[in-house]
Amino acid sequence: MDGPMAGRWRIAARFLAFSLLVPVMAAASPARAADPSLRPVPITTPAGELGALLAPVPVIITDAANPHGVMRLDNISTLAERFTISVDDYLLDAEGRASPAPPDYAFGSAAWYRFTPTTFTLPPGTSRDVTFTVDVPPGAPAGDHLAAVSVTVEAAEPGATGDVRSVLVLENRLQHRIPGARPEAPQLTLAADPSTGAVDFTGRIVNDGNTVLAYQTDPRATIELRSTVPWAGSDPERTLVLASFYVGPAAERVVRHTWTDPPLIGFYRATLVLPGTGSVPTSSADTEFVVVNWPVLAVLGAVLAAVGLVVLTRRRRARA
Amino acid sequence: MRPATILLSAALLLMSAAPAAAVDGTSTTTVGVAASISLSGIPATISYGTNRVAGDTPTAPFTATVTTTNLLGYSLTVLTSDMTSEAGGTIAASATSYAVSSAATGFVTACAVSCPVVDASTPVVLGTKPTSAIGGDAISVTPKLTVPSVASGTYTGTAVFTASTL
Repeated sequence: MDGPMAGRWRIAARFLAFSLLVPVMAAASPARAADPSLRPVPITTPAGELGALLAPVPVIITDAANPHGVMRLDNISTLAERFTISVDDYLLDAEGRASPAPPDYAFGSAAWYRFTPTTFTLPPGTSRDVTFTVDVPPGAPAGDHLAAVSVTVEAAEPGATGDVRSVLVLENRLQHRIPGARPEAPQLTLAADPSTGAVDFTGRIVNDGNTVLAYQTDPRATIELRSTVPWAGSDPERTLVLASFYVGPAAERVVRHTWTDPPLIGFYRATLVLPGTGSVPTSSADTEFVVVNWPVLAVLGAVLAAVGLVVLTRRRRARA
Repeated sequence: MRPATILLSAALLLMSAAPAAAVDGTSTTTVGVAASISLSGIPATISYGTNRVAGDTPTAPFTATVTTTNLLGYSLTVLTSDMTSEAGGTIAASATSYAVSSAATGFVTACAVSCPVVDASTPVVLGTKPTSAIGGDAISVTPKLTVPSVASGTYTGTAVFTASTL
C-alpha cells in the first residue's frame, strides 16, 4: 500500500502501540511511588517560558508642568501573559542596589504617577501601549524625585500545584526634577588596599544635594595615580576610569575599582576625581599607598641568592 | 506638549552620548534613542520533579536572556517564597539556592558556584552587567532545592525574577 493511505495506517499503528505502551509503563513504575511518605507531584502546567519587553522605558522627566507619555509592553513569549504595573519610591543603597524608601523620604514620588491601564492580558507576540501622567502636588520640594516602575508578568493560566510558579518583573527607575535644585559637591573619601599583584580602591561618595549626581559616559569618575617616588620600575602617572554609576539625592554610594597591573614596587598618591556636572563643582579625595609585590620579590630574591651562592661556591673551589 | 515630544526630550537628556554628527557647512543631526529592557526564557513554572524525599537535591536549570539599551546596565535578582502545602507544611525559602553556571562576558556574579537564599524577603542578586549585548545576554541559571524532612504533600511557591535597569 503506497501513498497517503499508507501514511495514515502508519500513524494509526503508532498511536495504537503508544496507547498500549502507556499502561505497561505505568504498571512498571517504581515501588517508591506507592510509598505514602513520598510526595506525588502533578505534571506542570502551563509549559513554556515567560518573556516581556518594555520599550521605551520612561526615564527622566525634567521641568515639565504636566508630564505624560506612553510606554509599550510586548509579550515576547509563547504564553498568554498577565501584566501588572506598579510604582514604588526607591533609594539606592551604598552598593547601588535599589531598596524601598522609608515613609518619610523627602524625594519620593511614586504617588504622583498614574499608569493606564495597570492590569491587562496579552496573547503571545502582541503588544500594548500604556499611557502615564505625573501629577506633581503643589509645594513638592525642589530637586530630583526618584521612583521605580515595576511591570510584573505572570502566565495568564494558573500553574498546577506542586511547582514553583515563576513571576517575571521588569523594573525601571523614574526620575522627576522640580526646579530649584540645590547643587552641592559630594563628600568623598578614598581608601587603597594594596594586595598581591593588585590594588583595590574603595571610594565613598555622599550626596548632600537634592539632585542626582550621574557619572555615565561623560563625565566619568576617575582615579588619578601619581608616583611620589619615581623610579625606573614604576608608572609615573596613570588614570583609571571607573564604571558608570550615579548617586541619588540624600544618598551615599560606595564605588570599587581594582588596579590590576601595578609595578613590583611603587609609592603612589591616588586621587578620586568626580568631575563637575551642571552647577555642581568638581570634587576630589586622595590617599597615599605603597605597593610591593612580595611573592615576586621573594622569588627574585631567592634566584639572586641562589646565583650568589653558586658564584661564592665556585670562587671557594677556585681558591682551594 | 505632546507625549512623543516629552519622551523624545527625556531620551535626549538621558542619552547625552546619542549619535550626533556635525560637519562644516551642514546641519547637525541628532537622534534620541530611548532605553529598553527585556527579560525572557524564564520558565512559567519551575518543577523539581516527582516523588522527592528528604535529602534529594533536584535542580531545574534554564537559560534567561536579558537585553537592555540602558547606559548604566542592569541587574538580575530573584526573590523566592517559602513553599507551602495544603496540609499546612512549609519548606523554607532557604532550602533553595541558585547558581549561575555561565553568563555573558562582563556579567558580574557572586553565584558562580551557588548563592543560597537567606529568607523569603531577601532577594538573591544573580548578577549585574554594564549594558547588554545587542542580541541579549544569555545567563544560565540553576535553581536547586534541598528537600528537607517535612510532611508529605504537594508544595507550591513563587520565584520572582527581576531585571532592573541601573
